Amino acid sequence: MNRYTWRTFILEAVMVLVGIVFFLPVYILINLALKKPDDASSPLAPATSLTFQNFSDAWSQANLGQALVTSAFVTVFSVAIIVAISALAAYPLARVTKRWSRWLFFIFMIGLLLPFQLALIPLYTTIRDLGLLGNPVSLVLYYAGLQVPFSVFLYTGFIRAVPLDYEEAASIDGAGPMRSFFSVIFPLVRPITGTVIILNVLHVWNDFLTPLLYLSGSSQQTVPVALFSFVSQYVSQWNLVFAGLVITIAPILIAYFAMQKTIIKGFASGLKG
Amino acid sequence: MHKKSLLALSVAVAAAVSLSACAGGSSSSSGDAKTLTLAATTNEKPALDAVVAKFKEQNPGVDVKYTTSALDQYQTTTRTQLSSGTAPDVVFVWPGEGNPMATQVVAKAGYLEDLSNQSWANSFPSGIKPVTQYNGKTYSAAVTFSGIGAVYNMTAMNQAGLTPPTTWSGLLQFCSQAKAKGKTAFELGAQTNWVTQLIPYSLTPTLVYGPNPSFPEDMSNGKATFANSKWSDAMNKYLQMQNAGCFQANPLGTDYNASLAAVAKGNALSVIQVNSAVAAISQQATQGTQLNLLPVPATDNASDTRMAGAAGSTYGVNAHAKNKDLAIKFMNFLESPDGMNLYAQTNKALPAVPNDSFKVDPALATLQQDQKDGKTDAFMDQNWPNARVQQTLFQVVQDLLAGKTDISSALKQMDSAYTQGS
Amino acid sequence: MSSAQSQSLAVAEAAAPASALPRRAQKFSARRIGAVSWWFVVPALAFYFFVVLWPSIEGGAYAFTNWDGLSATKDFVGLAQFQRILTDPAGVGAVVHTLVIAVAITLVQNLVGLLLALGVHTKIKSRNILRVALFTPAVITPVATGYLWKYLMTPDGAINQILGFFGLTWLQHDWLGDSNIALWSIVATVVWQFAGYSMVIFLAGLQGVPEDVLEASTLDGAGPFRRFWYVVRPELAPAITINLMLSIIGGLKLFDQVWVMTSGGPGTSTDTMSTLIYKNAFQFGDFSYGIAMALVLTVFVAILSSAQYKLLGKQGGSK
Repeated sequence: MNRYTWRTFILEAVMVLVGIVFFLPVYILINLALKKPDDASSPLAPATSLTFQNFSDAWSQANLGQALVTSAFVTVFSVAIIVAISALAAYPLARVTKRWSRWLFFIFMIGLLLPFQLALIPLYTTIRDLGLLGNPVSLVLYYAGLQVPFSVFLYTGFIRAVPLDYEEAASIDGAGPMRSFFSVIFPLVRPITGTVIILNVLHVWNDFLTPLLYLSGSSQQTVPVALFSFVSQYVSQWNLVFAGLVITIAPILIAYFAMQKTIIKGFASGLKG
Repeated sequence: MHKKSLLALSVAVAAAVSLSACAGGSSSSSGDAKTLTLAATTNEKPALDAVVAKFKEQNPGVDVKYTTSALDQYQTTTRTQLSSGTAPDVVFVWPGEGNPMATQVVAKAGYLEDLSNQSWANSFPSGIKPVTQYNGKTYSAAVTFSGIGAVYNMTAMNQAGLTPPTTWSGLLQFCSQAKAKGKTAFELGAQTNWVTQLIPYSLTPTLVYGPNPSFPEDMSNGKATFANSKWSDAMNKYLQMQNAGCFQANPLGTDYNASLAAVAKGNALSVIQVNSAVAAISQQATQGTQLNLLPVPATDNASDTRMAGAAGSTYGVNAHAKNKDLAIKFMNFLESPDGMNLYAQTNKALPAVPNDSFKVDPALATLQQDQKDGKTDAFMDQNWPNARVQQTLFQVVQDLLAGKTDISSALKQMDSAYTQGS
Repeated sequence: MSSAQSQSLAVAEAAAPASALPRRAQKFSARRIGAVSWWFVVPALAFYFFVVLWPSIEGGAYAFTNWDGLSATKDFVGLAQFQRILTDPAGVGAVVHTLVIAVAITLVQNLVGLLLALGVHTKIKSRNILRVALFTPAVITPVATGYLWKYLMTPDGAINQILGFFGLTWLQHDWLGDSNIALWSIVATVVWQFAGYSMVIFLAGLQGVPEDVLEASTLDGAGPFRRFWYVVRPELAPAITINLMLSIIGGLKLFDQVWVMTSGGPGTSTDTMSTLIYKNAFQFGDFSYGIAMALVLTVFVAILSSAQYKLLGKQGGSK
């Protein structure tokens, strides 16, 4: 059923319309980033005299170049750890029906419920005692722990839905649980890994209060902290902030766009192969 | 991902973590005598940029690392850092006690250095001195003096052929005249919660605190309450202004920024604001727009009219500062006429200690005169015992404007917040 | 069986009930994997324990003191802070608002997210670009989308301009200034931002479904709804469970957007449990009271989310 029919065309038209409605606020954001601060025209009206001044101002005022490096460091390492430990943990949690497995899953799920205010101060003093304040490594450790419940939840749910046949076949070939996991399960759940990566990247990249707390006083700052360091109560330079936002969301969108194709392809071949 | 690459990745992660742990460890423990750390709210950033540059110029080899963050985040992070012993050497504090980071709150908890021995400690005018002190000792240094009044767009006023009112009935008349010209008299950005308090703050000096200067003490002794004072008069006048059409159509849907933009464009003739609005409006308005900050009349006798004026930007020294000597040196610089004037000039405020070498912005001339004449009263929250009272004020004003409560129950809520303590 | 055990069982059953696995497979999994692989969990558990679980327990203990969040001293006060919650007039409204927000977001966000996922999991030519466009709002930090929508929702802002352009002036409102509407305006903002997020999770679940199933011809005599119910829904079971759980928890804990857009106002019309916790803990210098509220919120979220989990296990969530 690969033909492009008139039904497909109607669906396409509807979806494009929906896409436009969804994207409209983003358009306004970009549009404002391209306007001069004193441009009083409607936010819907396309910027007549394009200015990239906001972008270069945001870049230099917020020291975004340096902040992007710090954010990238924190994001890459914490998400790598999150994926590795969560996928590994989810495997027995999804497959073993014994009591300890259910209890452990339950304990992980508690982590989804806890408000951040509870752990804020005790964790801060621990990081202080470890001598990691002002060091981005503190953030890597923090996110690696914080995002475990969410990621384990995602992995467990999807691994449970994978039929056991593949592992059985592998076990007949003499594969232990380690090999079953790496050669059967992990490739099979690749779309979930993609989802886990992108959703964790979002959280880590955008988090604000934790980096502000842990990195304050050091010259290293993450992107949101740098970006909002010039939003004041009295003079809000939104054109600058929106320009900065456009700069900082671009890497994530490009990564998502690039990733989704390979993930989907990889999965389809994994199933059929 | 294959087993091998996963292994390789985890090795790489471990290596990177331990590497940067070493690198970070040595740089973060910077307790050297040449580096000062400081934190403040983002509102202070332009002024800090200026004074820090000057301070470094006067003290070669000294580095000042300062972090600025929005008000909410500033309060949260700095309180956490103070209680964990990791706060910067110099911290921005609020004057008085009605704020979680106010001088008296932080000093009471033992985190501020006693600065009573500094030469400037006794030089503050009587309106400022008490809010820098706790138990008779000076714990913070006020750098600027700020005021609340109506910021008029004089250019638009002249075009409309109107002049700023000097009496209460004149004010109501001004509202209807502005309306007849298709203009808003007073743009009100009541969606931004702290803006809601500015009208009571500009009316109560004339109605409550001027006639009875000991009102704050009476309240703390339990002899006076909001509900049984002229505060009800002030709230009543707030609603009278709303009914007289002084405000635009949707004050609760308008935020601080939008309210300033309306005045900058001349759609509104005035906004009741803090002096910093003068700078913010002139940034957006066409060049040459004349602005003027004037007191808001509350009675029909023009000479009664007083203004809310109080200590503005204020700093304290962390009692556990790594670099206390340098911190005190910086404070002394801030309190020198040079430092104070530079700070006030950049932040469009007045210096906390009036001096002749300060070149006042014409828009702030009236505030300066009132400060000299003693016709100002401190911002009310600086004398409130906890931060709940102010937050309750924000909430009840929004409810009053929406017609969801009445004045007497609004003021009773404030009274109960006042006595609740913490 | 204790109630806690049955609860954890319900949790385990929901995502994939044991009955879904053939008996043979259960034996296989228990013997082959269970015996050897418990240590797979250790690294994740270690990180989780030191970063989340233990600090939260330590922090939760503050609820039984009178600490202001700053002083060096604090006293043990037992359950006094919890008793205060019962008499706090601000509490009731906040609980109601929190529930309304959570239920509305859970329903609308997932419905929209599902329709979007089904729409782009087809042969349409624009599917790749649409996936990115629809996901873009989720990439922007919630603080910024809050500011953006606050700006769009001003009385003479873009939304009212667009409504005016189409002659829909009767639909124009003071979106955030009217206390009867403000809560729904916040819900709309959150749905706009996170519908794409739900979509991404649904898409991961849809990868087992060929792209043209939904708009396949009617040769087999089944309408699109029946096809969805029998072909697509079973594949989506884990995604549905995950999405519903994440959105109800996210809705109950919602803070950033509310804080940026209204700070709980006008008046108290959009105060939620999270804004109250924040105000008490960090603005009123009443840290322990805020923490006591946070503990109550935790219990609240636990009850509601496990009830939902149970419900999903019994009804459509399974294969």
